[in-house]
Amino acid sequence: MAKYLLQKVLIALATVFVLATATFFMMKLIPGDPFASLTTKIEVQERQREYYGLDKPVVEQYLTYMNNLLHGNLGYSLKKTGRTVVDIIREAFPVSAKLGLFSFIIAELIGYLFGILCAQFRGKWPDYLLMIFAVLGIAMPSMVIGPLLRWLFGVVLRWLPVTGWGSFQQMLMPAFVLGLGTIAGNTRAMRASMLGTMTQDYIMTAQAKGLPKAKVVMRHEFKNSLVPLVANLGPGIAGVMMGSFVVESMFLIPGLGRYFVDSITNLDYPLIMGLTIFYGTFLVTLNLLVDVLYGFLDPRIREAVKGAA
Amino acid sequence: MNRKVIACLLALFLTLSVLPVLAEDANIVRIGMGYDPNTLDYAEVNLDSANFVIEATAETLIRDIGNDEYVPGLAESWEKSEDAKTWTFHLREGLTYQDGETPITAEDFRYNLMRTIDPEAAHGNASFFIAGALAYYEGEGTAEDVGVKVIDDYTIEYTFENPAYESTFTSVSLFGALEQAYVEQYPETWGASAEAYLANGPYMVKEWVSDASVSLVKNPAYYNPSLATLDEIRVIVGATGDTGVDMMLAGELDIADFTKPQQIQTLTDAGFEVKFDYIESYQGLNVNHAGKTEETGKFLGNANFLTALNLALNREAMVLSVRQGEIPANRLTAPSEAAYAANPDYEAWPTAGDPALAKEYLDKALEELGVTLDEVPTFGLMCFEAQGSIDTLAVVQDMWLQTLGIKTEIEAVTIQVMIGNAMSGQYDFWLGGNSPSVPDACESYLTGFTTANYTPLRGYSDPTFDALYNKTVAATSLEERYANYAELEKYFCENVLGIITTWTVNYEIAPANYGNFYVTSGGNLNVSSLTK
Amino acid sequence: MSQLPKGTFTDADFTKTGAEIGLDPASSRKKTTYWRDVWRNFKKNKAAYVSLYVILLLILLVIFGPMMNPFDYRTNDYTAINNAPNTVHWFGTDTMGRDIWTRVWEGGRVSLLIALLGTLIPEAIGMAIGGISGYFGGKVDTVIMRLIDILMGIPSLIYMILLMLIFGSGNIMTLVIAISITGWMGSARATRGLILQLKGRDFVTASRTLGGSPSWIILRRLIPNTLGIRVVGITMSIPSVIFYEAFLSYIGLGVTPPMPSWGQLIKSAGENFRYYPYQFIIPCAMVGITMLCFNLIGDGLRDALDPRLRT
Repeated sequence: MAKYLLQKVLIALATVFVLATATFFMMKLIPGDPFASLTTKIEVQERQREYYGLDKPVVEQYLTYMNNLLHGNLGYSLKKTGRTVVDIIREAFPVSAKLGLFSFIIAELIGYLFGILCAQFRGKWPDYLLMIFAVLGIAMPSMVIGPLLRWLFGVVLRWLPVTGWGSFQQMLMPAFVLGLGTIAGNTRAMRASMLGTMTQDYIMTAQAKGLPKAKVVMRHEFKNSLVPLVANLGPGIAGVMMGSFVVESMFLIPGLGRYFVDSITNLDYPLIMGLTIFYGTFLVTLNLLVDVLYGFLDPRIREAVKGAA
Repeated sequence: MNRKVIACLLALFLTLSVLPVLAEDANIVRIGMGYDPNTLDYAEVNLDSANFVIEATAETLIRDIGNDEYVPGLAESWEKSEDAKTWTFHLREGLTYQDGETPITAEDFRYNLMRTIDPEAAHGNASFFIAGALAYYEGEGTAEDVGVKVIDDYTIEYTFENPAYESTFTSVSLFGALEQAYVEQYPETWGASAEAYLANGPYMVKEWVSDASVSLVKNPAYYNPSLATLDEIRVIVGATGDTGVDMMLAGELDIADFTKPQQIQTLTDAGFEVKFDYIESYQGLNVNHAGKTEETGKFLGNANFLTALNLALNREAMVLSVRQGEIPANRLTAPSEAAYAANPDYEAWPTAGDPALAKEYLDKALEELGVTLDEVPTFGLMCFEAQGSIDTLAVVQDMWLQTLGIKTEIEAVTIQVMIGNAMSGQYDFWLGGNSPSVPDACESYLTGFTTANYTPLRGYSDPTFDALYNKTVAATSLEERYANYAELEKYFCENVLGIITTWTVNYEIAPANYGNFYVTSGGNLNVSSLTK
Repeated sequence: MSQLPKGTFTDADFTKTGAEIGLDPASSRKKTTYWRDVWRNFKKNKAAYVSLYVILLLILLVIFGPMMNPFDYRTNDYTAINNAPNTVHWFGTDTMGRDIWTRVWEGGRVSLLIALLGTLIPEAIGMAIGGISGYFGGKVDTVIMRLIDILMGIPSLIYMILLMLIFGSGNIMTLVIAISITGWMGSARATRGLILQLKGRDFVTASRTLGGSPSWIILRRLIPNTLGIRVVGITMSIPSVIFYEAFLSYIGLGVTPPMPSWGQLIKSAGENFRYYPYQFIIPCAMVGITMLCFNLIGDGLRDALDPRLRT
């Protein structure tokens, strides 16, 4: 097992290396220049490029960057003058992560519950009702549902604060908007997976043994239906913890989401690299954990993994 | 076991989220801004929110109190030479920075200026009005030749290339005061946090949460405490547009500016008031007179062709549809600029356009160029990716097609790509805005059209324009300058150097009982003396 | 052995043959193929069946809708700005006085094309790769899965924006390529997961014992069995691709205006939806209907395809 894990960790490191390299060169292929500005004098722009080493050959820039990366130096943001990339991530990530995790846990649980209900009541009204909700959940973009909720609960009813970050109340609306897609997706996926599981022999055996219905559903059907869903857990968590551009700007949450888009459109090279590497590392780590969990959930895969390693 | 973990997590969240109860303090004002200030380094600031914070926390030699009025700031008095190129300032004595200890001396002004134009540091706000500054920046002159001289601890003298005005001295990146010893404690991070910032205005930065808020409190060391009427000013980042409207309705925001008529209507219906409005920018199509390609350049270098395009635009229809809340422009100079008041009656083109006349000009242009309409190439219309810009170009595209049969293609790109393309002349028409400047557009927008500052951005070089421009900036009094500027403006409009379409207006909205805040001539909001 | 009394059995105790009730004996023995079977089962699901016709109707409207009134999608009319739906403009007009009926169907062409290509291409790539990876296991699986790990480690949003900026935006094919390059990994991973699950099942072992070749087993045994769950994924990715398109429009990387797409219509109307809700509700409804129908069709297909649920 230790050997298996070591191998996985090595592969994860290789992944981050490839990722950093690919992103670096792709980023340099984008037309445009971070210091192009209409208010800054041309002479000054040239000097700025020189100062940040952007006038050197790309390969040389790459080697410098990788060398700094090995020393844990992600550099300074080009747009937020005087702030390091590490600082920006350190401040914004916990915010996105807290909101994202809260939203994700709630959304996963609700999604699974809805999925189970749909499958158990297949073709009856609870099934249809929840499926309509699931469809709406995907069809309504967050840029629409967000302002509607904000207006309803914040302005008309005054139950919740409209914007901001810090209190539990302030987390509810953004977490719901953020999790809506997950709820909807999980409802559908769980329903499908469960319908597949319900006709398996071992379920019939369990039923024939006279186990209580709830026990059959939770112990056997639910656990086995989870297996295919777990495969997407890693990217799901990583995605939601990295924040959302739309939700963060709508509820004024000082998270990481906006930087992913802004850094690229602003061509803030060090920030693009820092964010991609951070996201990538996080994702690879999560996938590693999911792989382990996956094996834990399905004994047949556990055997296969053992065989492979 | 899973259930326990989840229960624990939930409990954790609940305990972490104790409601911070906001003290209902009557003297806090929350104000909405679009973006984080990013940096408060005088040599780097370039966003409205940063300018707002600087305006409240950092004073320059002269205070700009709006309506083109200037009063003594850190300087008690000053005198200028006959040609207005040499200015001598006498500082107030005994002033300190916000820490109450570090004295403000003439040397601090010299240091700030030299730091901003330091060629090694490559600061974004380096600019070269001061005599010898450009030569120093380009390595052709020495620091000693730069036109700034410390006469004694409380006297400083500046020498300029061209005549200067009071308004010149409100620029903090050139005429603010910085304590060298303090700045050097933060070699890379000066201005990036509340700690790494030491200023001298009526307020000081207490807390700055990046991308969330900036809190300003009274500066106890300020020489005139009566100028700071509020206990706290809190800038809330991102509180604009529909978000800002909802926040104001829910009582989470006090002041913000809006542009959409519907948003303003919603707020005034709820009892808020429009306190004032100001022209934020002039919008229009920049023209690359050399063209993106040689083929398009042939047309874009023709004044009659450009006049046809200019007259084919119905600016009133634009304001009715995609530029709601803006003012259709009928000339270059915006009504808020000082030069407008000196020559208010000029009208360069009808705001509703003139399709018949446009067609005449087009025929004239085609004849001059010896081509038929079918041979006119498709022109590129470049803009920033925002919906409002794209819609505006869709209107321009339709008007040119319907009125003149001129075909265009819209290219919406990201900001740096747009600026990059613009700077390198990779465009035909490009939708962009310019801020009004003090005293007139010669300080910013028009510089790019001079042969001395030729770039692919404008692709324009014309001795007649150069002569008019040089005559304007050489004027030794504002009256003379405005008279010369009127000629320059007429030349600009008649030759359609740029197609100005609308003036954008910001409406500052606040509760009815608020008063006494203003926008400086430089376009920054000032709430330091707000009353309620 | 005693004789049963007469009348113990009546006719009702026996099932009559086809011939006895007047059916052609050939029809009852007609061999049904797999897909005919699927279609027969699919038709039984009324909701799915109706949805199929709704989608067909949408496709017809998308093709012929713009020809049904005199307006075109790009000509502005400043005398008819922000008109609510009326007898002249059936869906009303937008901020530039353009006819929304025409724009909705024109936009539908773009969105449906992007949605279909952007779903099917990455799904096909993903299924093939995931199938190979899951079936063969071992080294092949390791290499493929590590490759996928690497590619999934690159956040797809960043990746897509980078690709769009490099290729140049504004073009349907660029969008589809960017979506395909970034979108196949999820499907590959899911397919692999399902195949790992199925691989241990008796019917696969049986096929292998009977000498089925790997490609035959993957294509005829494993993939059809994963389709049931993947179909849900496919129908769900159609709307998400539509919104990917919307998001890219949101940050300025969508199709070139004035050409509309549903995503773009929703996005531009979304800014004013409190004031002109109809401009926003109509394209939203189109997306909702399309999505609902694809979902219902997906459910129907899933049931029809799933050998275990087959009746």
